[in-house]
Amino acid sequence: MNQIYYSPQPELSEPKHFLKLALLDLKISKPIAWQLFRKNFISQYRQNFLGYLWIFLPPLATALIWIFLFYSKIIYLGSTEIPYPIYVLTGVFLWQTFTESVTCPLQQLLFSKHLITKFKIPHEALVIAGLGAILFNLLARLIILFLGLFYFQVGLGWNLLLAPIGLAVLILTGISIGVLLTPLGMLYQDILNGIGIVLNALFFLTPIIYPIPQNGAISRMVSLNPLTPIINSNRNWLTGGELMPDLSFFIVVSVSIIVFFSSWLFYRLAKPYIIERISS
Amino acid sequence: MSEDNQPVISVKNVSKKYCREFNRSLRYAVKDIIREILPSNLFPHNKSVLRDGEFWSVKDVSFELNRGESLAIIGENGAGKSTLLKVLYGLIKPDTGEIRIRGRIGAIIELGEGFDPVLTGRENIFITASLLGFPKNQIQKLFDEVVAFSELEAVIDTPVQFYSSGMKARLAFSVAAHLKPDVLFVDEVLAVGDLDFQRKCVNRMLKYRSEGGSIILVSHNPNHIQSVCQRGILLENNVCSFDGTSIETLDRYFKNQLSKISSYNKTSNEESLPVRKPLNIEQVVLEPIQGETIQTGEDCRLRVKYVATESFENVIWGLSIWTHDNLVNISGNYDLTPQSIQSGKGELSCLIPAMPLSPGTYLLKIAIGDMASLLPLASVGWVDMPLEFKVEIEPNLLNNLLHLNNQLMTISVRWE
Repeated sequence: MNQIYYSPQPELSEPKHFLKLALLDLKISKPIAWQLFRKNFISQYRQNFLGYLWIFLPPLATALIWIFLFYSKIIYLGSTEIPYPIYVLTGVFLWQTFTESVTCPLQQLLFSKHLITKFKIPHEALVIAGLGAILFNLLARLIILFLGLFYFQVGLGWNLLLAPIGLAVLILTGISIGVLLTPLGMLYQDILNGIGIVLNALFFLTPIIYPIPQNGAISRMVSLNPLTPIINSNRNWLTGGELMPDLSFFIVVSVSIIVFFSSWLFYRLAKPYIIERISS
Repeated sequence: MSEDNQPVISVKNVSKKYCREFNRSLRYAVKDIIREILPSNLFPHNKSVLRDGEFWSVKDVSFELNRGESLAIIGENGAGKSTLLKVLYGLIKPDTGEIRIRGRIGAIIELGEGFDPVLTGRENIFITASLLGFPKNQIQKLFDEVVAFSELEAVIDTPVQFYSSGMKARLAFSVAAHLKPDVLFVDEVLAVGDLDFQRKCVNRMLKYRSEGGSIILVSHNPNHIQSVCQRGILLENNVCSFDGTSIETLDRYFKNQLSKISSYNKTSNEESLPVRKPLNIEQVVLEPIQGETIQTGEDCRLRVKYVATESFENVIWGLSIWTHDNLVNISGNYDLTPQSIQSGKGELSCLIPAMPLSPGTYLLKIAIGDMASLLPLASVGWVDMPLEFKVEIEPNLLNNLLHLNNQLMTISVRWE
């Protein structure tokens, strides 16, 4: 017999029950997430003249712009082991996936305010649906990237097999930050705007458009940036570079996992308070 | 089921508070969230006490519902009904009390919110069904039934943005109508569409109830309340002021509405209005020709006393009699012979021979208008409170019979 009990007591006063509900919500999220993902996907592209071709146009445009910049020799930020356009393209695509992952939870939930105040759907479903979109965009970027690798004759190594792990870590890091900021972000508008600004600044402190600096003040900041090892290792694995990641990579991964689970559970605790305060 | 004798839902002393000010409300939200993770003795907060700027949306509501019973939550706008429903559904946490539900729950809170206009009706059925919590395998099975119920077979593959609002409501309701939880929460939308479809919706709810489901309905519609719910609670000023059958609760609700009306009425006829219009009705009197009280079958006179600051030609006027819940216009009449009104005080009057109304309390509305434009010059009861009046009768068997069935008019019959 399904028994439901509501009281003003904090959820953590019954931790086992709280975790059980969390796992149950995850389980029922899957079909809902699929429906939502499908709906967003179809709805987004059905209204376009070019339809599903639009999936490839943004990464293609990015690639062509950077290749043009390189060949016109406007930008020179240092020599790289692999051809510069590939270096940048890989970095930019990885960065875009990362930023999408960071903004995904907050954006999905803010966008679905009218749903979460009226239907009792697990919020995890909304985030998973958003994750589906991220993966799809990533796939499109990888296809364009591989075309570029082929064009520039960059060899692919066996460490390509580690790429899925690397990408998972990239997305996990992004989402864990995103979920951490979501409770406050649902209440205060500043957070979403602030994320944009911080990410823009972080872009320049990550070795995306320039090779890793060896000395100088910026070298210190780049080496302290937790995203550096993530982007770097992913780039290496995708373009046949170094196999072994730095120690910092493992540190970032471990911290991300911890942040992810605690942020998720923290959000679940905050959920009823968020629902009662946000306007639908 | 082993727990058949236990109530399917028991609500004990449930309260919910909100904050009036937006910024403060957000700050309280942050504090409440932090309190969830810290040990309770670090920053203790008694949830049953109001902080600055807070008010009780719902206070100390208790009731129990057994399997198969249905309850209506009745009250004015702002009395806390929808808040209570959201707490019961589990969208928000109560601030005091506890709620125990033995079974599965479902809710119909708003229709069509999950719709994506670009997608077809078919695609939207799947989305709405998953939002309402239908398990995946069930949705496909129910699909044909849902489409049949909505009567939208012809347009099911058209994008929803081309549907009328009635069609959207029917589609959304058809999905929700197939929910079969143990307790169903319905916020206002028990029936949508034209009268035929509404009847279908109500029958559907009755069928669900006969199969053992319980409904908790928030509604303003007395017909829905009376046909679907046996019990009712009245929320007044955010507390539960009455708990009884749905009919008794409705009665209490309308009596309270009426006492508000009549208390307004007594002052509005005596005090002068702040804005002086050219024609002002000062007093409306409905009095019996003979005796002290207006009686069924007896003559009475209606007098409308006015003050005019200018003269009017081509004036027409009339009266209108309504049920005490202000929902049904029982009867009325208009004098279309143009009269003229001179400035100063005056009176319009008419005789009502053999008052046809059965014993009860009614509302009287008056309108004085201009013949040419048919626009009102002065009125009572149309934009302000009507006059309440009682019709009485000598208590005897016939008269008690007439009164018992809530009949409105007594027709004169010559028995043969």
